[in-house]
Amino acid sequence: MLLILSALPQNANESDKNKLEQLYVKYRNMLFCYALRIMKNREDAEDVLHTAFIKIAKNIRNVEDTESRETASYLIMILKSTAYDFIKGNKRKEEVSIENIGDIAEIDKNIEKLAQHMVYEKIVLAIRNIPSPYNETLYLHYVRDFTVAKTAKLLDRKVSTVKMQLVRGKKLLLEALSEVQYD
Amino acid sequence: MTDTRELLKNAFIDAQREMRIIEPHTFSGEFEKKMAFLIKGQKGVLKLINTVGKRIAILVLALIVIATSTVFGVEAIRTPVIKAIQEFFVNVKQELSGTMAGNVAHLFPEEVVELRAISYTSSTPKTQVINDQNRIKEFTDLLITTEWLVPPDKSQETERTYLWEFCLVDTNNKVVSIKTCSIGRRGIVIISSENTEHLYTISRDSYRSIISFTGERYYLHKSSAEKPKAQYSMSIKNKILSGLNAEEQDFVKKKLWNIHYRMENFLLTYVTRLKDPDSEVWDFALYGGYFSNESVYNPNGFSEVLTDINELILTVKDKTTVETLKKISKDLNIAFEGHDIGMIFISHEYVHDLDYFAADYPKYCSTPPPDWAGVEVYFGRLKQIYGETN
Repeated sequence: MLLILSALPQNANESDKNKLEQLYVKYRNMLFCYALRIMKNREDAEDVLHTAFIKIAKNIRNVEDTESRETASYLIMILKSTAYDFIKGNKRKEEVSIENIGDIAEIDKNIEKLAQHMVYEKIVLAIRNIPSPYNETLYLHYVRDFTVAKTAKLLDRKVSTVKMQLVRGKKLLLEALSEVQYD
Repeated sequence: MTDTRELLKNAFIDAQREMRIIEPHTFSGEFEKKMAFLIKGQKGVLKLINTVGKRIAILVLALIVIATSTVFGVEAIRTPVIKAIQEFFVNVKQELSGTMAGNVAHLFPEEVVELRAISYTSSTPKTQVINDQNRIKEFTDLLITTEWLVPPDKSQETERTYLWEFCLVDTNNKVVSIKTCSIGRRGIVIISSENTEHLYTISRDSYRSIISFTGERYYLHKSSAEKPKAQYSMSIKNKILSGLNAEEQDFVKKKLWNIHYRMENFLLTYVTRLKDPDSEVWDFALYGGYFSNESVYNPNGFSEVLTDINELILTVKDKTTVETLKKISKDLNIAFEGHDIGMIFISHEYVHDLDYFAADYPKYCSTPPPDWAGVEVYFGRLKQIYGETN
């Protein structure tokens, strides 16, 4: 019983309770700038920002340190994903079929092979060239090691869609790395 | 994690931050308000862990997780518990704000955890308790799509008998009650909490949607059946009226119209009360009487409809039609005996098709029917009765 009670996140909830507010106060201007750049007008940007914070709130446990650079990039990723959903109006075609899984192992190998020998800044540049929604899916895969199901839940997409985006995203990453490699 | 994997991880983190210059922005009042609600709601989520009911639920959930997981640490217990907590209340006030129902948003609570639906249509009130947040959200959506108007004359409404009540209960056990009944072609609603009461009128459609929330909704004229061809309808008409002289034919057509009209009127008027098999109104529905709970007087009851059907049975000569009328009469008697309003709706479908698409085809309504929308609706019952005849 004591174990259960100590496991109940009463203290953790106290910090969780204030986390959203801390994130909002610290990052709202930054996130708004990204939203404005994507949406091109202030009203839509505010809508996107609000929706993004709802997503962040629902998944507040994914945020550990409100000050870390990783948290900042996580929030930006959520924002971009939300903006993408707004632009597409949730009417994007549901893609069910995915490529041969056998290709993926090969792609993963080639990505690692390339990345190992590239200048860091070029890898960052290549990643920036990957468009939404693939960028966000890859982010959660590489940074958070999220499962497909967890990614689908966070980004409010179907599991089959996320699977497809992960596969395509890796292919795009490989292409992007190849392109910038010799720039 | 491999070095390359770590490299890619850091690259993805850094790749997100493209913008170097962040300019401060003055957010709109509307946005600040929405964010304030969201943040307050996030804090409120965790208040529930302090309520006895939820704490017990959390302990039970934790026990289940421990019993079923093979490897557990604090995270393995904590995560499903938090997940269970995170979406357990509905901020009705926020949901209504900025919508068509914005003028009543301030009357509603922010952290609704329970909805109690109470029906006073039978001698003892019946209460249904709803804790499912999705269902509470569905109810909230009904409120959002309702236009709440202040009636010009409030005095006459205070004496009405309200047959339905919906109580929204928040995390502090504070109750906001919505009581409603119909008046003419609109619904009357009193929203009350603690010592305040606010009176509104709503559309008939909104009223029906709200009171149907916990029960089945019946539609008088809902069918996607394709209307029969004119030739088919005429052939059935000839069949029904076969062997009758002109006067008898006229009698059959008018009688069928009267039966149909009274059935529709009856259903439209009494469906909300008769959906409940225990409703007192069933005691008076067949033979008429004065309903003590409300000022509704049904002088003759439904029995006149049954009498008319018997008259038709004695007049019509076509065997198939006679058998159908006997079946309708029998089904209606069973419906009243068993307090089954669904069966009355089905019987109406037979009568409706016989009237509009057969005996009196093509139908031109010289007198307004109870529901104009039904004039174009076909239920497909003729083919069930008569088959694909020429």
